[in-house]
Amino acid sequence: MSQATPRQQPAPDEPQPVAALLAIALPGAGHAFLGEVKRGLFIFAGVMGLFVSGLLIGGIDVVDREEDFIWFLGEALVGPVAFGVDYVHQSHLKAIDPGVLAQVRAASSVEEAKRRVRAARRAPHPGEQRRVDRVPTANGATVSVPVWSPPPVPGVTQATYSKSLGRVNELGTLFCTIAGMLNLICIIDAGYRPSRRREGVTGGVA
Amino acid sequence: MSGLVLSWRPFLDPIDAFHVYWWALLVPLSLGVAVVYKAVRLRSLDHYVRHVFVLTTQIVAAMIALGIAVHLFVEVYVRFISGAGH
Repeated sequence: MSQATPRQQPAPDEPQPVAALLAIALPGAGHAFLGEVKRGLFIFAGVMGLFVSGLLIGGIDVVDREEDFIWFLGEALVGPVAFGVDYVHQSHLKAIDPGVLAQVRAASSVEEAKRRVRAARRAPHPGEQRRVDRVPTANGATVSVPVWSPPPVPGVTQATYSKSLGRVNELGTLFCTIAGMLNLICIIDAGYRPSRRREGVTGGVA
Repeated sequence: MSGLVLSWRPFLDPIDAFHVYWWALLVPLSLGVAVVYKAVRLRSLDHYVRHVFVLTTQIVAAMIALGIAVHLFVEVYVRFISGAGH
């Protein structure tokens, strides 16, 4: 016996690509699109709760596409949020050693200079401060380059951000990656809703 | 002054206390897994909170039991067989 569903089309067991795409875009959005707003909210709370907790435990350093690529594959399943966090980390927090500036100045184009900056950027050492220099390249163009400066007062000044190490880094990374893996389950579930959920059966575990 | 400058900044600095109390994170991790798993798995969300609580408890208990089992294996059995060889 089928019961009226929140959205009548398409049929219950048909693949639902729109719901799957929405679930990729935002955890829980796929289920909300299919009319199960409460379920979507629980999924959002669980996935984003784990992801944000991971960031809080290990700092933004736990989402790093360049240094922890394998782990980032799992974190990326959280959706655009993970890519946004990684973008902020790579582009607005990391910088290069002052010693690399000579290589940037020798670049033949702005693109080449930016490629060299991307290849050399790193997390700060204790106390280092991030500054942005305008650096001329070999062809006369200038490019903005983030550079680490040594701390003005060694041992006192806090770095732009801290690289997490050891267990704290491992656990923060684990939280974010598990959030992504759980969202993969939710994406698949939203994309292929089993008909049993539309039969109106209450209670128990499926 | 230095205490002010070196304060913890959320999302920029890790929480160093978890270097020592890392095991306490098992509870929120289990809770997060249970929240998402039960949201997908349950047909009805009528008793959702109870199911989440039960699963969280089961995961934590299972991990503790697994930890005790591995501890006993390493500290008792492995020591026993390594001692028996000498």
